[in-house]
Amino acid sequence: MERESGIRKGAPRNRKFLGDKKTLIGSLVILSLLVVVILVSYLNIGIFRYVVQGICAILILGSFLVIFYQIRGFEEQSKGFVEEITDLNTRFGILADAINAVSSSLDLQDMASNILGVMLTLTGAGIGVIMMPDENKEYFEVLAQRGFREAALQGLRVPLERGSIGKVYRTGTPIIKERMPEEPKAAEIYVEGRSPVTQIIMPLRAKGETVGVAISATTQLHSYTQEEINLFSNLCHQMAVAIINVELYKQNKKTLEWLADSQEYTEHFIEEMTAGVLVLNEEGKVIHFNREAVAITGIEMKDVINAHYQEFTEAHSIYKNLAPFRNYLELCLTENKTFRRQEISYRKSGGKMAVISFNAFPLHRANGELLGASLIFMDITAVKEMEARLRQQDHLSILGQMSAKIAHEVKNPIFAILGLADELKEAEDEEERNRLIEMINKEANLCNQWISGMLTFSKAPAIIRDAKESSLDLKENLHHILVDFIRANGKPNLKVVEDFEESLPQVKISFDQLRHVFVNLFENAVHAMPDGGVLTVRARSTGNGYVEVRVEDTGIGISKEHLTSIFAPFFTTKDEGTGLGLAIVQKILLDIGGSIDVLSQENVGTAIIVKLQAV
Amino acid sequence: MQERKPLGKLMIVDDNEGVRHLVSRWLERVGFIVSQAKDGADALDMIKKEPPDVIIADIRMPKISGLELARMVKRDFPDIKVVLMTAYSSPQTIAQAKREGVDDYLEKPFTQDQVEKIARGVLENNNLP
Repeated sequence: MERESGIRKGAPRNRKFLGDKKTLIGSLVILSLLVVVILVSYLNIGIFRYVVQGICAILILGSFLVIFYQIRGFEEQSKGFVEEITDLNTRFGILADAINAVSSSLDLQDMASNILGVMLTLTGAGIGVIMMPDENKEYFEVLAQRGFREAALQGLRVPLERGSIGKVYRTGTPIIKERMPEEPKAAEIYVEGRSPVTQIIMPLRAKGETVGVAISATTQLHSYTQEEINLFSNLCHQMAVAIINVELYKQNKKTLEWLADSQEYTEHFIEEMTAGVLVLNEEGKVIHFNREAVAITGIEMKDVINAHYQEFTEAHSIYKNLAPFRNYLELCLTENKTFRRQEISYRKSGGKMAVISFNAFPLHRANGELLGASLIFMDITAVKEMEARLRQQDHLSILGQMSAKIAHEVKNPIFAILGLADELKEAEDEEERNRLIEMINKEANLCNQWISGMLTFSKAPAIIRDAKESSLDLKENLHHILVDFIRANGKPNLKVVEDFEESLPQVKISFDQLRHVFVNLFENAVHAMPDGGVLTVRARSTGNGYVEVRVEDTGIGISKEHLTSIFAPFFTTKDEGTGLGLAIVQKILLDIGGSIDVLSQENVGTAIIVKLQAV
Repeated sequence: MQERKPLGKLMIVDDNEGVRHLVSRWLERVGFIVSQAKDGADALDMIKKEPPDVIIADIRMPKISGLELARMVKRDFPDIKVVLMTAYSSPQTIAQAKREGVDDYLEKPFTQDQVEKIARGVLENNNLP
């Protein structure tokens, strides 16, 4: 600590002591001894005893006087104690006020003003100011003041780098100024009209950081005691803590507001999404179920919030429409699996089928910890219906393409037939004639083949419509079709493997369709293995309303460039063939709500994947 | 049939046997030496063994199309003339055929006279304009 003048050690407060304990006890001991001597003198000492008794009486009187004054002294002393306690009590009151001031407001200026009030009361000063550095850390900003004229502070620039105030701020050490010279413009600056004589500049320090300064000044000549300085320092520390806390609070509040905003934003976003959203927490309970989810599933939000996903079963009639998602959600939560663009279908309460496309995925915190799982789903029934209509149109356009193509393809044999028939007229011998006739026959058959193909293709929808509601046992029927096919087309070096799952559901397809589709696929497989190989037929339930049948061969495979065209009508790599086989197969499958896909690698083999709707 | 000096060696490439047979018959009759190939691969094999003067190929064939065959022939055997036959030809196909260096083309159905004239034409270097 630094003082600019009149250095004075802090001394105990002045108390008037009139007596002390030692004197009192001494007097009492002497008195007791005298009483003993008097008692002894009464026993056997004769005439002399009167002298002794006289002296004793004088001493006793003296002792009483001493005791009397001692007791008076004690009374005075206790008065002093009472005064001191009252004084301490006042100080505690001030401290309590200060603490109240700090804790009652989160507004810095408010708080600074309260604290300044407490400080000035404590020091009996009339002038005070609390300052903090401005944003650029160049000058101080006044947070609160007492005793200054408003106008005097406007435009006041107290630098951080210079002067006593700057020094206190930079060093964190207080400065006390006593007997300060009179300021010339005191009348304009101070409310009292006089400049201060005594001033203490205290840093606002806490947590090893100086956040500002507090100045208390008085126009009276006053020497600060150590106690006063300590108390002032304490208040300044409290103020500093409060300033730091307010800053932290402001930052926190901003973060919290931002978080609240972003949460609200997210919730709003989820609510307004045109897809259904269901969010599970890590326990598997539903915490979000948006409007669209209600619209799609027909389940009320209040019924599903807080429900556990394991309750989503067919048996639990409210959650029936969520039942198909249960297994997916379980895999998301327990095995961290993600599902994209999956499709399921279920029968709505009105009996109509609904087709739902969905993504299901686990949710993680930034540190990878599991937070829950989410399901985003859309009702694509309308899209599917539109697709079906488009397929119908597509079918017509395919028919159009086909007519053009057939006109084109049929031109060839007709050209040959006409030319060869002409040749026939001029043919000289029987053998030549027969050869020409045979060729004409062949060409005519080719024409027939094309036209039959077209008929099958164009007739397909009628057959499909009739068969739409039929369903059959896949395992048994497919086995028969395969056995029949192998009986007719089997080769010694062709191995056939059947791999059917034990309990397969019934599938939606007619026997004719099933035979048409699979005989075609078996033919292609066998054709791809001219030197033999393995033909594998697998069937398994996909668990999401479909049965998947794979027809695999170990043949020549399909080149990349052809892979995209194999389902196009008239595409063929065979020497003989219309290129309609797979086109018709695909058409049948799409029309009954199934699908066909291909995986192939040249010289390794091909797998055709057929999906059929389970019933 | 009158014996004449061969006009040149022709190869007919078409996956349709009837067409192949008919066109060969017509051209042999007027004095060409004609060979037949049932597809592009077959044709390439035969060309390597005994290159013809003119190849008359169908544009639409499985595996190797007429255009692909023309490109390969023009690359490896630039002296061989190539004529493509089409049952239906779009302007794009014809333009592409020209780019591949095809010497002439024939639209099906055609007559014996037409094919004979074109065969003679390409042999005398009357390329496409």
